[in-house]
Amino acid sequence: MSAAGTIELRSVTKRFGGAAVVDRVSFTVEAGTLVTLLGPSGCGKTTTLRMIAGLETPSEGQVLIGGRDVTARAASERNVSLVFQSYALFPHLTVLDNVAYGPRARGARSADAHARARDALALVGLSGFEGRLPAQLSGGQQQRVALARALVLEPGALLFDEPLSNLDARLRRRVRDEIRALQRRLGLSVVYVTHDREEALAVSDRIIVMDHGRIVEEGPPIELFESPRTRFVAEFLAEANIVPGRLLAAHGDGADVEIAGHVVRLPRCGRAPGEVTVAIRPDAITLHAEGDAGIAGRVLRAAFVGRAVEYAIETSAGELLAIASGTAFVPGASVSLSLLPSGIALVD
Amino acid sequence: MLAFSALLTFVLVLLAAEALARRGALRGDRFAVASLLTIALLVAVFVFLPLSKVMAAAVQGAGGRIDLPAFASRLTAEKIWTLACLSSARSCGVAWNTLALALITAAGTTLLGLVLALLVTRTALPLRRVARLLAVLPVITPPFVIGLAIILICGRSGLINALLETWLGVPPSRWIYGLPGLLLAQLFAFTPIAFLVLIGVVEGVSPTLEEAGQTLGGRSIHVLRTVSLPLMAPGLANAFLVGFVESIADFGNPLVLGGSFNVLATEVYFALVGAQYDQGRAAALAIVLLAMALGAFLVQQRVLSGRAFTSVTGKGDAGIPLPLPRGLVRTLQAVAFPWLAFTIVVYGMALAGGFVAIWGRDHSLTLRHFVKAFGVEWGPAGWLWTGGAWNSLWNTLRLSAVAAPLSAAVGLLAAYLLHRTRFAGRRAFEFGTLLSFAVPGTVIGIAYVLAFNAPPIELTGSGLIIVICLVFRNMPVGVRGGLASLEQIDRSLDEASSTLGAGGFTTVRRVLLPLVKPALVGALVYGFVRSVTTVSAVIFLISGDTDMATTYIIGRVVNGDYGVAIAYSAVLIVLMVAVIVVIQRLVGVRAVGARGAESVP
Repeated sequence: MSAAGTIELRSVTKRFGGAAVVDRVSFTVEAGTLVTLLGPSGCGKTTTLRMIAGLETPSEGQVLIGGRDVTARAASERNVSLVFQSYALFPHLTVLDNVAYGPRARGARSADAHARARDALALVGLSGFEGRLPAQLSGGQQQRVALARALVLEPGALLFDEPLSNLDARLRRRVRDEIRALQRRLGLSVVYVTHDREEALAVSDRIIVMDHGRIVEEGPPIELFESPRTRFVAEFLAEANIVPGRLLAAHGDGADVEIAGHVVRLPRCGRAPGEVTVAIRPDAITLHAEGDAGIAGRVLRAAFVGRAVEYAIETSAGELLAIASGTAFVPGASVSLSLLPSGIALVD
Repeated sequence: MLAFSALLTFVLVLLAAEALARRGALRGDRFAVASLLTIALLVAVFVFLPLSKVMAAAVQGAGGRIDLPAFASRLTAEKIWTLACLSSARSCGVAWNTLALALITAAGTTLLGLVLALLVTRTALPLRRVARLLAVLPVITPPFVIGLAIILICGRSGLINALLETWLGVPPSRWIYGLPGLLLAQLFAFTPIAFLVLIGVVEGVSPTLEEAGQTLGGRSIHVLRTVSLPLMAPGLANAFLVGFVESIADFGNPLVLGGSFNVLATEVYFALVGAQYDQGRAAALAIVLLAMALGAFLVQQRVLSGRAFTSVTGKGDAGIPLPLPRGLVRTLQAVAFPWLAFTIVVYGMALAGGFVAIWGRDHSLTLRHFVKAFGVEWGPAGWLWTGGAWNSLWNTLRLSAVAAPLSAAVGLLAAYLLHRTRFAGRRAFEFGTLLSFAVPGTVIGIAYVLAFNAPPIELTGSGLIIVICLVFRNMPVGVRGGLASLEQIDRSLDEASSTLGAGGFTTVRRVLLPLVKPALVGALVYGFVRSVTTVSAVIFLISGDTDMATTYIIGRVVNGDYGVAIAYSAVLIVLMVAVIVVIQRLVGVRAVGARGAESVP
């Protein structure tokens, strides 16, 4: 496969009508890495991806692929491939012709294009399906055809627009892992759009979290998950509880923070003593029977979700979401909560 | 010289497109930019320019100077606007005649269309096949054929007069010529169109809503009145406006049946052709006609843009349509069945009348009209096409065969640009491409004469001007069909194609075209058939060398040579059916797996 390129956006803005759906977004995807654009629907992530593909023209700013400014270039003249959410397979062409479409459109001879298409189909494990029409394939198979069709051009950058959203849960994990494995093996530069946080955490080298057309935060998955700097990322990525707290005193790198009358020691994040906002991940809350030392609370609701139970707990700091396995508590039970410092972050 | 400048212009357009695409216009797609510029230029030259010439001709006085008083007096001429018929025996102005005829026709066709639509969709009668046939009839029949058949039935030597004379001793009269005959002819000619519009509307009324009305305690007649009818109201308005526009644009029927009852469409023609030859008056009449048509068109656009009547949603709607009350069904049948029977008689007449020696006098069967029109003899120099109609038939087929693919191509391309690209002036572009649909053929005809009978673009008398006229008159059909079918093709397909390195042209050719084949067939068939059956516009543009089938027939009718006219009409109708079948076979159906379209939402 060809040398993967870097992708760079420089202060890219896209307006529809008057409203900016993408607002001064800048980032760089290093060659050979997988970067996820994550955010709720309407946050501008798909529009950003489409501007990289050349399907939308930025109102302002530049798009560079492999160091070359392609802002005014047509999609067909960019060295990128896009895997669509709907797969967008051509319904009137066979699997082989679908995959050979790109090489043919770029001027390859028919026999040559078919040979390359066969290789790409082998790569995604679909040899033997060449003569089928897309309608005769399952969803997962269609997804692979779409992937093969994008890979066959050996693009400098591969773009995915919510590629798993039309698959069932079991298939989703498999295809997700396959995409990641293929990306690593071929050293592809990938931009991956999703609204699913688990998917983003699982596949990414870096995650860019977007909201309202802007980048909120970016970084490696673990970093964003464990020490988010913003309330939005803490809530969106880890479903964290946001509660008020008070930074009492700093001790070197750490700080004592009081949460609902309970003091925990956290990394200080360069903050001065005073009011702070604390994000507590649901899995950082441990429940005990009443009487133990800790934050007093009462179970409002409990939902069994399989491996764990999700609790809504009323405390003096407000209603908290806790996810815990082990002892089951019924609604109405009085409990005491202890907090795991590694699951707590101070946010803006 | 003309060809050279056309080529030069095209090269300039391509260069401009290249420059614009490089600057990122239409996402840098050269093909789209070039198509857009080309079509915009063509619409400007062949739609807007001619219409502006009509305006100019109406304003110009003697010597070509602008003469506003003359313009004002032409527009307000008594012959157009007088209401004398209300108070005396003299006739009213052509504008009032046109308006009155159009309003009655529109009301009548809407009512009849609704009756038929209700019978087809809401009763168990096996009328579906009849309905399908009805849908095709107005497309394949030159409109004046109905007028012709009505002359054979009700005319001076027609069936009815003959019966009246033998039974009651009433002397034959010409009562059918004028408003009664015209009304009859237009009702028969345009009801199928109203029916086509309304069957969609009636089917679009969600049974669930009617069921809701019933569960709330409404009696069925009450539910029909308070739920179903209001839901259909915009559709009914649309059918009415379609009938109105068809009526004022109709040229063939007034020409053969009008008698002394003049309407704008024919008046424009007589002002320009005939002894009068008054460009200014013709242009002023054309402006009045155009104003009526555009007015109706704009109202129609507004009615349809609301679309409040579409209660069809993506959700499966499993309700059972409200059965009609018995009394209502009987009433509907009492209206519909005589009408259907008479339609059959009319078309039977149009097909069979050509086999009778002299209508009304000598009813012996003969083939002599066909021989006269389509005779072929074997002579020493080979086959001799001795029939008088061959020349016009070849012309019609040749010119239509050139025009149909062109109008389909331009129409579908315009639809592609409208639906798949975003550009400034999109609304104006859409208006321009659909405009010629609303402009009555007579107006287009006079506009082309005024615009293209002198340099820089001198085309009159050639086959080319007829082809161009047909292309731009029928283009809106391609545009509408294209828009409707592109609506069903997910945009991500063309986006996928372009990210895979295909330019706009490849995308259109390899992805969209195969998927819009039904629309392509529709545009081809419709373009061809309409080209063959049209009269109004081309009658201004024909010359001795380029006589067309319809204008030849009209000529025979005007000379009272009904036998040949009706025989020729029958041949045209049969030919059109054959063409439709052949084109559908040739283009074939879209080759997609059974669930093809659904698998790419």
